[in-house]
Amino acid sequence: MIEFRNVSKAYKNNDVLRNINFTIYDGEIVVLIGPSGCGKTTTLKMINRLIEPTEGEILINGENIMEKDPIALRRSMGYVIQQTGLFPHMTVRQNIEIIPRLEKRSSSEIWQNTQKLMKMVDLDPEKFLDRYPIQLSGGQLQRIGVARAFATNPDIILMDEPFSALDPITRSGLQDALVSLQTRMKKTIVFVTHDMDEAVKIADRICIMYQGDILQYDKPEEILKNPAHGFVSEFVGKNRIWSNPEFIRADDIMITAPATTEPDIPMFKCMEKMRLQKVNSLMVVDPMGRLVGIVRAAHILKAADRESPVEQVMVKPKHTARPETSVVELLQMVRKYDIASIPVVDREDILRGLVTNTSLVTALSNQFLSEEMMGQLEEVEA
Amino acid sequence: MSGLLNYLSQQHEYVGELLLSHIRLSILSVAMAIVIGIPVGILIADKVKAQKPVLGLANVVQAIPSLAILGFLVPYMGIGSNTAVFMVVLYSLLPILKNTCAGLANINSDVIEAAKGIGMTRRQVLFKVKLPLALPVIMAGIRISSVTAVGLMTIAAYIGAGGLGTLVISGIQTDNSSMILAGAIPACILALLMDFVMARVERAVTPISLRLSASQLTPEREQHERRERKVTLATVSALLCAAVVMMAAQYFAEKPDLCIGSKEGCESVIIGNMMADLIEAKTDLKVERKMSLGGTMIAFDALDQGEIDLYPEYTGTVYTAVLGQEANPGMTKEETYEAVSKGLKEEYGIDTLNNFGFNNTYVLAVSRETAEKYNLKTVSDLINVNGQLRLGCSPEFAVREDGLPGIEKVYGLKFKSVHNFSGTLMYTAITSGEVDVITAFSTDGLLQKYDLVLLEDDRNFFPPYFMLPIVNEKTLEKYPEIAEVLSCLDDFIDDETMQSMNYRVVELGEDRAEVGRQFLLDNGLVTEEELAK
Repeated sequence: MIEFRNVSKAYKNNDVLRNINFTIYDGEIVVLIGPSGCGKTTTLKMINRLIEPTEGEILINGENIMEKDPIALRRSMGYVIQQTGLFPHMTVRQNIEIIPRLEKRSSSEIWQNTQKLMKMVDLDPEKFLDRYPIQLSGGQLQRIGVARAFATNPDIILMDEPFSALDPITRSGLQDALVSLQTRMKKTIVFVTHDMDEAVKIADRICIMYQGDILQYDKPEEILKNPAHGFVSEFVGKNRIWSNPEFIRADDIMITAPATTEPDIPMFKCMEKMRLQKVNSLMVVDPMGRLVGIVRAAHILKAADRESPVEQVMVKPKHTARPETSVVELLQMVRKYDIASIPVVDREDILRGLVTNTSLVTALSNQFLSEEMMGQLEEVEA
Repeated sequence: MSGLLNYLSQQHEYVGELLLSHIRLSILSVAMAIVIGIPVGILIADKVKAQKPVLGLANVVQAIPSLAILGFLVPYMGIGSNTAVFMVVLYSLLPILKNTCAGLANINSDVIEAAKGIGMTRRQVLFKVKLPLALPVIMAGIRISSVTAVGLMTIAAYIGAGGLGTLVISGIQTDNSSMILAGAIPACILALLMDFVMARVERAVTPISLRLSASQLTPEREQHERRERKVTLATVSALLCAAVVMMAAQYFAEKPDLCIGSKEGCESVIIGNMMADLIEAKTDLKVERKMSLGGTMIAFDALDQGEIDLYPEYTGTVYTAVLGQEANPGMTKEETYEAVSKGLKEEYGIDTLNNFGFNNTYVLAVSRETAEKYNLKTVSDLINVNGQLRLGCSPEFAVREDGLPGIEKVYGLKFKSVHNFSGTLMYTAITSGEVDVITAFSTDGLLQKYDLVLLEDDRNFFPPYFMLPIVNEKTLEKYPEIAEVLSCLDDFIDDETMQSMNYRVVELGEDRAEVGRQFLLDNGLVTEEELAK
């Protein structure tokens, strides 16, 4: 656990960080993001004391890092920067093994560890260990950089825009690799980037910084849905969430109070309710609120005795969604089962809402229409 | 060319000795420049404020002519190899300093950031990352320094530091082109060799990943480069070890009891060696020789500061240049001797021994035809041909009060024109008929060669320049036998004898030490056995 307590950094008259407070939890990937000069890199470099705070303190597992030996502190965490961070005059192997060798570990131990690290970053040791950095592609260099960071098996890894110089395909591959590595190794990773897509893709938590302040520190979904600040929504981008539709849940787009009835209500009353509420089906729930079936107008019209309770004609709901089901899955269900509406129930089967084709279309179109209309407006003005 | 080969075959031992001392001094200088330059370069590399004044100072030093630097150093540091090494270090410092700074400053800052970030200490960052990456640039600086050092070290001979320059300077003084080449050619080869070796070292210390492109880095190539690197480094280390052993041997070698020097100039060196030979032959003293120490002030300062104990000097020179007296036309040999002897003893604690007998003063000389044509015997005879003859003289003589202006006044002479020449060119000029009268020195060997007639200074205008040994009084107190041994030369060498010895050196290309030794043997002053011991 890394805690920033009232940390400030100033160079002469220039405040770089202003009273930063936040906590990084073990085993999470935390992404520091913001425009240039926001203080994200400064924040990162404070963790390994490449930069020291003017005020405040930084604690790792409760211990103030200013009281630790900076060299031991740095060796207890990995550090990855852009590809140039590898030593050009050393082979891949020398690069990876530099700190273990400086610490005079036994060579058999180092060798085994190196082999392991190469497998971890998915590079063939035979083929790559004796090569020099200039012989490697950008993506390979970055993998070696990550391997070097893991060489002392640290709990914390600091990454300073490690993928920003790479082409999009390589970058995307490395992001996937990092997430899968993190799932296996359970390291605490602090990652600086200026790329929101990257942040959303890999982060457990995103820390948005601007001019030395933290504007919002939260899970990516929260940041996308509920930007805490005008700048955040601007930085994140209005339609950013549509790049990550998995963050749009049934919860967000469902009708929260669908028309319902109970099983023992006579059918004609149900018809009446449909007419009044201008719907053609009702959710049938028991007194506890649990969904027990769906009744459509067509079912009742076919029925002979409209005095009898509705449970005689209702059908069991075949496909339901949970509140956290993403819009992607909802769309898949609509397409696959050719259904017009999907009831949303929680774990106890209690009905929470209803996603209809209309609500899906509304939710989706919202994002596009706002922009389209803006465009049209501008045309008219011109 | 055959003269050069001849000289080399005769003097190969001497040339070899000078070559070794040249290498030794050059390596020592560069080593010191490295020991100072690299740490200072490292210190100031990331301190922009300190960089400006330090590099500025080094630049200024670089801009000063090397001879001028020697001029500044000799009064404080005296003569000899220490001063020479100091001078060469001053010049070698800048390229090393500059390149160390540049090499360190040009390392990609991300690399250093990464090195710190992964937990390397300052020392580790320096030795494992910064220096290996800057080494090629630093080595390039050392390479420039080394070549400069070999070149500059030739000047060191002016202040008696030894090295190949000794041959060049002696050769120029005695108009012996074989000797000049015997010094100059090895010096050139040495500089080129140094450049070649340092280029190899530069290559060997450059990490191959910085030298080759990705496509060149094949495993075979790498292996080849590694082998080459090993060979280079082993060879250079062996050479360095040899140099260190040589220096240590030199340092621990037996110290001499007595150091005999001489100014530059043929007869100074002949007489200096002659005295050294005599003392070595007749006493048990171990003598070190530092001949050809440039001009009067260098040799005299060396004597005054005890770096040499004894050297031959001219009375007239001591009177004017050392004691600062006005030249006084009409002063006799004895009066001058008295004044010199008294002045040196009182002002400097230097004793004067007796004159050798020859007077190397200015004379006016004419060709035999001119002498016969105008019936010239004395300087006064020139008045009869006032305004008809052309004079060739050194630029210095033309303006000195005890030179042309003085002689014109005292004798009432007038020349048709005055032409400036330096050194032996005057003789060529009078032979080719460009001038009719030249100034010469009365013991000049070339007077005999060109068969010139000397005009007698019938009014004693030129001060007497009798040569005599001047010796530190402490040395004389400690080794009183020196005076006794040297007394056999008192009034023993006249002008003609000195002329012919000079002639043998300048014209016949004989070695100066050898000519002196032969004189001692021929006159029975020493025996072969005594010299051989």
